[in-house]
Amino acid sequence: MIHLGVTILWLLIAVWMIFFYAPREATMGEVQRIFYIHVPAGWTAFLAYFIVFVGSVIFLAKRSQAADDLAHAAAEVGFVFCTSMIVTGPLWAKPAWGIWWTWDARLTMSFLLWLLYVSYLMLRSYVFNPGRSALLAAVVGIIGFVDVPVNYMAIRWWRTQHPQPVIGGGEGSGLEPAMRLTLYFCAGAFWCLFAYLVRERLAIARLRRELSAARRASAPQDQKEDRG
Amino acid sequence: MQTLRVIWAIFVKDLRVEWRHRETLASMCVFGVLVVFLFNFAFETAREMSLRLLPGLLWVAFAFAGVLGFNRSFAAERENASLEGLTLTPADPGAIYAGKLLANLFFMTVAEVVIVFAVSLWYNFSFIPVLGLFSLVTGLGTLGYVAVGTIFGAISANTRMREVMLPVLQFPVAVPAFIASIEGTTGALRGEPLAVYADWVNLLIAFCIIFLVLSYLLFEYVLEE
Amino acid sequence: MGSPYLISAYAFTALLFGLYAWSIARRKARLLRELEDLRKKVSGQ
Repeated sequence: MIHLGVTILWLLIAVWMIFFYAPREATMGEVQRIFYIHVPAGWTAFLAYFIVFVGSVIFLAKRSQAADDLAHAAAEVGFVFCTSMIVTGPLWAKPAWGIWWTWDARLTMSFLLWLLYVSYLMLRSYVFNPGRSALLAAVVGIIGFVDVPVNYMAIRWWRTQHPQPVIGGGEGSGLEPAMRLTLYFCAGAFWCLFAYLVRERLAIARLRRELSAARRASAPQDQKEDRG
Repeated sequence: MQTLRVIWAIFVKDLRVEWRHRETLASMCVFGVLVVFLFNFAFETAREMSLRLLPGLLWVAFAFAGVLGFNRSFAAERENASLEGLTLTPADPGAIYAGKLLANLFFMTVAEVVIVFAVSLWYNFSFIPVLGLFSLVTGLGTLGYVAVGTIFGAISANTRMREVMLPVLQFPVAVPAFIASIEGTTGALRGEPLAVYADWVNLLIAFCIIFLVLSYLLFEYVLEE
Repeated sequence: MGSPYLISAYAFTALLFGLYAWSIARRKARLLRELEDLRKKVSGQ
């Protein structure tokens, strides 16, 4: 409950900062404010896939149910963030560059990450034998994660059009302090939201297991009754 | 020694099954040639033009033909429950992966020869002057593609809608191999020296090593019951 | 702040997360209810 309250409060302050604290960008105008959801959503999506990877490795090594639950939860929530990134991107690109989409390095990467999420989640729901879905998903999660940097190299050499990273590009990389503060604040809000959603998703996995265990425990009694 | 014998046994078994039924190779080749055939309606085929389009056309045909092959590779094993039999033997799962990989590589190579022949005939393009470097790039690209295709074929054999599941798993992961193969093939077909596209060849080598090792290590979990 | 792009981007994101949070809350509530029903049934016998 506290977590939910903090998340909502943080998000509200973030929205206030985006629209009333961060200055208006000179060339792109108001539309630039999409930046404050697009970039943090992307960061969160990549972070989430990293968690999927870590969960998958721990699951294969230790067979811990909790690790598998974490990987599944992070994939589902990460997919939502990734979708947000991939939809807000074109909505910003159209007014800023004049086109909805271009196959440059970063756009291709983000679409690829989205596809990796789709394939992971599809696999989880289409495996015949539920007992094996965790194993197979873990293998796919690991291969998919290793693929991300290889893809990044390939696509980077292939084409690069995207504006150079505005953050962490050293001095003079062109982000005003107020904008930078807003960006980090939004990223914090998104991570808080991410953690909250993952926790809720984990609670669902736990409840589902409890329910099926309780059903199994009560089933023999039912059968006895039937016979009696 | 034991491992090599297992790899060889599985490879020979797959070839023998294929020799009796001739299903995998037939579907791969026919499908690949059909892709080449359809492309003919989509693009002008002037020679300068085709040099720009041919690498893409070749790799799209290879990619789709490959998916058909990888799908069959484990689907039949799953249907006959013979994979369970294989996992009961003391054989190293990595060796089973390597045997399946070799068989898939063999089928892909045959299908690619047929597709290249069709392209050469219909698009009036002679591959003979550039055969050496073209084979090098195509061979490396195929190895990388088959490396991930074999493990994903084994995974998707466990799913409903496996015909859709396999490309959904395979294509995103194979993108680096796909890009590097197309760029390398373009250079090779233009008759450029290897140094011009050495970066792409190196990327292909790296891709092959990374995913061969990774799949070899992870295959055990795919077979596990 | 009149840009339709800006409004669409924020509306979409708000809707997306709203729907996801709602679906999670619904799934959780249903599981809790089923668990409660089962407990009642077991203790009622």
